[in-house]
Amino acid sequence: MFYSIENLVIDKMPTSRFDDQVETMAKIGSWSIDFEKSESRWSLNSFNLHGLDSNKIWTWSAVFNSYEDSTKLKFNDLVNQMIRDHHPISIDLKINQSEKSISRLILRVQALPILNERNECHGMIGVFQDIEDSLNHKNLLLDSERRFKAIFNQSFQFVGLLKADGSLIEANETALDFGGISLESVKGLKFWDTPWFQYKAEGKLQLKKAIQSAGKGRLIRYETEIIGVGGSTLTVDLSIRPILDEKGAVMYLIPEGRDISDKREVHQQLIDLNKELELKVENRTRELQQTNEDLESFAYSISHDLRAPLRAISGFSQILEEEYNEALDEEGHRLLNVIIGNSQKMSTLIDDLLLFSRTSRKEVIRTEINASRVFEAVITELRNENKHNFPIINCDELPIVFADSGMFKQVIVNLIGNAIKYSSKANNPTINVSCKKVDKAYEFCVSDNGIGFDVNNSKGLFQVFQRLHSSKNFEGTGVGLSIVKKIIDKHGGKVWAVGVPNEGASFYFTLPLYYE
Amino acid sequence: MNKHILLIDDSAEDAELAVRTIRKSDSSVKVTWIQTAQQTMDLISNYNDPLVDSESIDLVLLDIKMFELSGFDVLTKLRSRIFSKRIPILMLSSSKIEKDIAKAYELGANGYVQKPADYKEYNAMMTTLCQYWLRINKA
Repeated sequence: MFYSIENLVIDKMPTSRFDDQVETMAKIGSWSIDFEKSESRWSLNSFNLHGLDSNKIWTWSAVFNSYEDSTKLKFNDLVNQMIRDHHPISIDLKINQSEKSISRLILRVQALPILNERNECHGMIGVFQDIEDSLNHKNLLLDSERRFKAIFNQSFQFVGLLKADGSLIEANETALDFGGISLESVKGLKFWDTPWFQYKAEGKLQLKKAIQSAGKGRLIRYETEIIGVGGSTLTVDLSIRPILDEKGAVMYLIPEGRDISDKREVHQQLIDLNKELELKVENRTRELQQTNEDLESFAYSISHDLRAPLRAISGFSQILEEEYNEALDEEGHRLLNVIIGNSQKMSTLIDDLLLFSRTSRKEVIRTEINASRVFEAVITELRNENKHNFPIINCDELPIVFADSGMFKQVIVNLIGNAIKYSSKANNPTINVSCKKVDKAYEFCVSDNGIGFDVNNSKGLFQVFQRLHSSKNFEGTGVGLSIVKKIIDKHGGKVWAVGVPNEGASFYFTLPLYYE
Repeated sequence: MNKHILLIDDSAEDAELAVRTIRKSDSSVKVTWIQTAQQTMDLISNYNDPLVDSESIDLVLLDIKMFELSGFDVLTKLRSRIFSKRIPILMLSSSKIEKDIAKAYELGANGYVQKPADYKEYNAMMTTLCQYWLRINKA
């Protein structure tokens, strides 16, 4: 038999004022049903909880109407179930929200059966309980936990929660997934005994020490390796952060591991790339060096091979001049001299070129050199070769330099030689030699009051075969300054020149004080 | 007895200049010029014992860079034969290559001469050298 309580009229339960006050305070309302007498009673607060006027006549049907549709049947089912099996019932009912007059939204309805001596259920007593507040709290808590879990689990990083002694309370999904383990299997384990840290014995030991330190309130951070599902390993930046209570005692530890394998990989890639680049540069440098060497040996062999035919030209024309002197007329002699003169010029050119290529290939061997002595010696030598209109040479006291003595002398020969040559047509040819310390180098200057040059037209002054003046006016091959540059370059110095046409030129070069 | 210089050089021009230079300083000197590899090898293998050979050699001028054969090979062969063991040999070259110079002395040359491009210099140098070495050999 199905018992329906829908049509039961609800009577007011006789309660004391005290009872009502207690119920209001507890946010409960009591009620009862007697199936045999078909009676039902509600306390005053039960009406209030439903927002119903206790002075009016209500049936359970009206009460059910105020609940959400689905609860009506459910409530009836539960009542019938209790009649059969005598189990207490408990149901949370949502009061229909469209009913604006009703302020309470959720009621918990609990009931116990009333049994007669034949152990038959003939009635029930129950309470309505306003659970809105507690439900709200629970929801808030649930929500807060959901949010925490979301953050905890969504993180790409491995995060956990430990007791101060290192036993595991929580681990996020990222960590569990990586390890291929369930939280239950590791909960309560000491963190260093968990599967993640069974990669290397020393890693395990290091972690144990780290947790002990963190347990004393220190933030620990270090790089370590962890092992995951299938034996895969990861390098992580592991930090263990202690969480303190108000008194400063460590309550929890939060271990957090950042996967830095990628960073490591990128770092490694960067290193590899750098190495590759270095190798490329090395190869390119070697190629360049090879090309340079090839060019130099080419210059060398060319100048070598040019000597033989030149010797023949020079030799036979001179034999012609000596042995057939009388057979030649004046024009014949002139032509022959043109040949001889040019072959001599070419011979000088080849010698200079050879010197240049030899300078390029020669290794710099540095010794301490008294620059004043070298200048004096060079000036004396050149004075012997150029007796006519030899310039006045003023030479400052010069320092001791650290250079290749042969090469240094060559620089001085070429610069002083040039200064003598280009000032030879001046009225009072004068050459000044000076030196000063600039930064970490000696800066030498050789200046003359000769023909000078136009700085706007001096491009390539230090390049092989570049000449600013024709060899008609000044003899030369255009190799001297390129040798100077080559030598100074090899010594790690710089070379430059300034000039004013018809007023003179100054040639500067630097030599580092120290060679590293 | 007249002095005898053996000149081994594949360049006809260089050889002529050398011969002229030597003759100019001492016209009594006999110069034998050998130009080809075959001639050189023939000479070395056919040469008789110096004690019975009237055509003895007083000085060898040997060019290093020849077209068909290397002056170093000739030098080695010459030094391996009894007849030429004690003859002074001067190596001739257009260039001064350090390792060539070292090699020449190592293989038993008595001197290394860089032929100047300029004839006047060449003339002067050859005259001095030949006079020096021919005199030394006499003593």
